[in-house]
Amino acid sequence: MFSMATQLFINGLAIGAIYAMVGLGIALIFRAVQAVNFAQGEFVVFGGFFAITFFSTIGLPVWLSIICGVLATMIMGYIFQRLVYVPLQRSTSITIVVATMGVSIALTDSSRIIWGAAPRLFPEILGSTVIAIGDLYVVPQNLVILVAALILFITQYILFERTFLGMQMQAVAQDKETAALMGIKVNRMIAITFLYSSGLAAIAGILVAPITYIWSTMGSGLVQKAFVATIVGGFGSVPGAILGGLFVGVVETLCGGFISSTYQDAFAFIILIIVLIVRPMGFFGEETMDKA
Amino acid sequence: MSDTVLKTEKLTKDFGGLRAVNELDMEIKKGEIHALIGPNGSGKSTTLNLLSGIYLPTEGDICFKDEKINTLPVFQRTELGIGRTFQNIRLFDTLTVFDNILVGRHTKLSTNFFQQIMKTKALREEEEENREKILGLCKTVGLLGREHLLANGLPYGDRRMLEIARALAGNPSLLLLDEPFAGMSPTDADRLVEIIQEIGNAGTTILLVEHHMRVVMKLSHNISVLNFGVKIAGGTPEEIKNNQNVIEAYLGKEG
Amino acid sequence: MHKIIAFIGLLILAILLPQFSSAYVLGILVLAGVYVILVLGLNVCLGFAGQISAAQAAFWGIGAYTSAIINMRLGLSFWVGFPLAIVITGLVGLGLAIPTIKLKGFYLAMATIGFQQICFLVFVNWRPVTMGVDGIPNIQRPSIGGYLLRSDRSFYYFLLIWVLIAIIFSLRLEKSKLGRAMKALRDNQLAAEAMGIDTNKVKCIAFMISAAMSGAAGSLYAHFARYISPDLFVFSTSTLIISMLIIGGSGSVAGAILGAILLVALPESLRFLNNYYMVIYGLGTVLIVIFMPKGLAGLIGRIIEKLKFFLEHGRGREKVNE
Repeated sequence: MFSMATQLFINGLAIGAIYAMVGLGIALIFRAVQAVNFAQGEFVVFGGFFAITFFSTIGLPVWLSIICGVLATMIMGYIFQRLVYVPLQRSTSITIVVATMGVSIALTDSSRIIWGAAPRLFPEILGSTVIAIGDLYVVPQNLVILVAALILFITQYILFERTFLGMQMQAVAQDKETAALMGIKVNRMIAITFLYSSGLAAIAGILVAPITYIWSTMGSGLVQKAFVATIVGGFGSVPGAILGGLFVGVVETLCGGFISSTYQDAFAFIILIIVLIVRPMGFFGEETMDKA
Repeated sequence: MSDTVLKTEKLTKDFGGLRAVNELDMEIKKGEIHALIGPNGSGKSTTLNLLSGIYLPTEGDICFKDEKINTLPVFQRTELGIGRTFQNIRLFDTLTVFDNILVGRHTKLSTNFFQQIMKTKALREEEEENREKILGLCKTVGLLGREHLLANGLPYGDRRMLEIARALAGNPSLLLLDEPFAGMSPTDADRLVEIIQEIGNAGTTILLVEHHMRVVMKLSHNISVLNFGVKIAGGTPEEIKNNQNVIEAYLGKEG
Repeated sequence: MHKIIAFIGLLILAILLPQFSSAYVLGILVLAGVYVILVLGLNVCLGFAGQISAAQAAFWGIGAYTSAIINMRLGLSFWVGFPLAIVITGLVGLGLAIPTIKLKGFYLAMATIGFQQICFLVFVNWRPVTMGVDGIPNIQRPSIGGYLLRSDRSFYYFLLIWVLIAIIFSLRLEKSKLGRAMKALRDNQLAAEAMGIDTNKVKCIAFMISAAMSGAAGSLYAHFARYISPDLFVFSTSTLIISMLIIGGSGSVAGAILGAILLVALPESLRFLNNYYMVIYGLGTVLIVIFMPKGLAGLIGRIIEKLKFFLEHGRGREKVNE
């Protein structure tokens, strides 16, 4: 019983790390342009598909396919920012929601047209033999995900907190006008944020591809879970997105294992609705007031 | 039923560690035009928001026509007869001038949903009545002939006027005006002074938050002066003009 | 007025078209009618009141399942199921609105998405009641005073009546005190409150009406298709309904009708587009949001305004030259 819980916990952490990565991308975009991105899930899908194409169709080695996949997705993210966010800079929240939903629909079907409706596979990095640690059976890819996520989050922390570039990005997130007055190239920082977020999404897609495969319609479900993660953790907060993601992944997997596996997907949304009613700002978020 | 329309007693509002309004005592009598002035950040807008119900008081009481309204929601205060305009103009931009004012009449419309949907005779009569009233208000603020235009496209001065017409549509007994003269051209400002005087003469009690001293001195019967959330003076325009505390608050202490 | 002419023209078309249509086209016409009601419902909530709801498909499903269960499993007629579907779905909509009353924009969207997903999972997994993925078969066509609407064509005309009722209701609502209050809420919630509007109550009512209309559409659909299953009532259907409203013109009854008919008819009529229609809807939504926020209805309105202006002033110039 205990070992089943631990087993589920580890699996939950792994999927939670994926949610965290996607959620992180969403949170960073929100901090930069105060807008949400409902199409983030499609970047995950495209990232996975690009890598698969580079590997299976073009024949590049795995490591190069991953890098090319990430880069291709980043380019896509840049185009996306210029075509959608820039014209809608001063729009309302609902407008952005609707617009990015539209992009999500278009991209989902585009990926189906390009790569077909069937799920595609990307090879596992550490092979497919399950590793046994005592009573636990760990799928090696889950280990890869956890290690990759850890490295990523630590690198990101160093980048944001300890480098000049990170400081600039944070300044832009907090107060664009002042940042601009201080000589920071605001538009460039926003572009970099989008590049980075798309890259994160691509990495998430490549990491999860060996386990769940990649198929064109998986984006919306994933982005919804990621949104739950960011709301639970505190929308717009970087640690919030990470912890929220891990929380949702673990709770969802544990509940799925112990309570009901058919309703597994519902648990994230139940958590969401509870949080939205009781404490919409999540763990790390701040309350905002409406002024006259 | 006393003469006092609005009375605040030790009205206080804290935002975290900041005390924006500090034990404000204010009394406004029926038919009075009362101005609330003070340097920037003195708590004037906060006071207005407390009175209209957007903020809830931390301490103290607000009495409207002898009834305590401290925690009453915004829309219920409007039903009681408090109308207001906003410092940052808040019009319904996708609606026409006519419809904006008609929304202002919301609390006075008595036909129910069924009558509205089925377009009964009662509704048509009410619509006629409203039409006259609204056109009358348009005339007062100088928008007659343009009531079919969208609020969105109006020039700035007219947008302010529209807000006032909209606030008046509900027949308020107390009208709160939040810096209505901000950004007004001299011509528009003169017109607005006339309009406010007209409203006052018609019996509406007015609380005016304003920066433009000339206008304040000309219009108001009584003035309350705030500085850092505290009321430092109250009285007639003459008294306030010569009040040492007020002069210091605006110009700073000498030497 | 050009609007009345257009409407009568469309009505005549709607009445005559089925007389010359194959069974296939008739099915599409019925589907279009159902979607018109769905999009009109969303128009109340999102178009008039500015409250985004990504749960329209869920409400559609609740209406459909309620009516189907009452008919097929309890043996009661459409005339019991239909009003109950409307009332129950409306109450569920109210039930969603009340706890989420303080949420706006993105947060409200997420709450409705959460609700949509939970509903779908219930449809799929609550086998004893909804029969899960197998769906509910053998739903009966309605009968009016003994006359069973056996043919698709007869059902179509029956549906048309309800579509007209929905349209007239929407138009009356738009001009009513409540409709104006919804628009005021949409444009500036704080100012609306200051005008004496109980915005919380208006939000709840908007959601309730929107859900009730979707419930009606669900019941009508169930009794037409005679079989329902969960895979209709999914999130992507909700986003499709949103696309229909946005492309047609959010906030406009004509826009809602236009969007629904266009986006149902398009993939069927332009065969070569069939594989790409979702991409087109998605892109269309983005383009409209950026370039034509009032949607196609707004564009058509502007063209008509310009034509009217040109005609009036063109004539004026002639008179001067005489």
